[in-house]
Amino acid sequence: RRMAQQVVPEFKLILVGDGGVGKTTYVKRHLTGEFEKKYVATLGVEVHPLDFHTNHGKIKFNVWDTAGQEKYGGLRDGYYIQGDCAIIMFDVTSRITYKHVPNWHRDLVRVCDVIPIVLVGNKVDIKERKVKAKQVQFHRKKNLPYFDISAKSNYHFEKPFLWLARKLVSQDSLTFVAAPALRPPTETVDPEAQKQAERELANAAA
Amino acid sequence: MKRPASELERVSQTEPELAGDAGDAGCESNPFAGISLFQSGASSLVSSTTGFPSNGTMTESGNPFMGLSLFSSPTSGKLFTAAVTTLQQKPPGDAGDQPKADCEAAEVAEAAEDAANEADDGESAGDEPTGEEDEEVIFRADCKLWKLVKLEDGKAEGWRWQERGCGIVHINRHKTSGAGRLVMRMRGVLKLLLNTPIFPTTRYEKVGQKSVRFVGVDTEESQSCHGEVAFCAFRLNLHSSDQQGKFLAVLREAVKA
Repeated sequence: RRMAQQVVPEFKLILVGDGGVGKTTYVKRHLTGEFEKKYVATLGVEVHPLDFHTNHGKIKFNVWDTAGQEKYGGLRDGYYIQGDCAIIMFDVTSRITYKHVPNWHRDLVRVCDVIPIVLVGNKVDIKERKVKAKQVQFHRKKNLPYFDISAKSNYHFEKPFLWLARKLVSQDSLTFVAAPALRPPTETVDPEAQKQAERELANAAA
Repeated sequence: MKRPASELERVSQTEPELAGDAGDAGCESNPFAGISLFQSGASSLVSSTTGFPSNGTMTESGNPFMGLSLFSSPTSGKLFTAAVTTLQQKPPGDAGDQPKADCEAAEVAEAAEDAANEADDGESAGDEPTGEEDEEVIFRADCKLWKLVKLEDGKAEGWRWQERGCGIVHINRHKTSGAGRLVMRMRGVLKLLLNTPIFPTTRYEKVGQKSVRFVGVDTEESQSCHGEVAFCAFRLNLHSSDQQGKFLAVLREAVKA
């Protein structure tokens, strides 16, 4: 898949890891910018398109946010078919989620063979860290990159996507660039719609 | 908040060498169980479109579930609605949803780091078009953006402030027409969060010591419906009351021009 001017290259990204490590929150953070504190277990899988502007053109990840909890697993590794890349996430405040990383990796490799995979330790903003960065060793054996991240504070939150994008288009110089801000078409603005929004704001946020 | 030391980051730039057989995918009786594709849990304040973004399709090549379960709303997109109803809404006045005065400490530190590394906000680096070439930036400040969204979840409805991200807000003035606009991009990925003209009729209201709220063009919604412009309410949290004052002063200036 080559980056062309018109056709936006799309890649299927499989996001796996134990339940509650923050996979869905991480995806939502990228989708809208929101930070969801409440835990709602993902059922089966949810697919979200994520677009990025790069100095090599636009790139789209279709993120398959899979259920971490076994009882909601649905198809499980059936969702991995034809994955182009993957993120394995664990929670640095929960040792068991790190202990399970080899299982997630084994299942991914069994279905997808050789694809770029990133290992990510989430929640590094929390003081009571249980898995220290030095203790993270799994990625060395498998030659994967590892990133400490925090979906809450946004620490390194773009790094996994940046690394995968570089790998997938074989461009080590790839960086994210400013999304073009075209002027909104002001001539089609309905003053009434604007007033309506202001009334809603007054009512809802007062 | 303790910031993770950068040397703790271990990155290997080499191609993963992975062993393993391309095995069977494992099929169960219902191969489509639990697949849903939804856009967003919230809709905008004032939307002039009934559709939803058309870019929600998956890769055409080799997606075995192509065309299945593409729902426009999160509730209808789920097969297990019982679990979905646990997505309780908070009333708009709930303290937990109120925008905090500041970005996280780590974000501020990150911003300082970015500023040191790139001398700028990193947005104008390279030859890529920013869409702001014909404008001068007359104000720039680190901030956090919130948007007032309406949650439609079954029976219950509620408004709440939802975070949109941190970054640098610009007040731009067009070099020839003098027209003003507000532009903001998400730190790190530089995705567009705010892109609204500064209308003379818009009220920019002080909220607390550091925030400003206003109605502006809804970038997310306006991108999905061509031609029509949707509006929503925003709230910008700056770092100090000093910044709040300067921001409002420059806005007044931009409107006069």
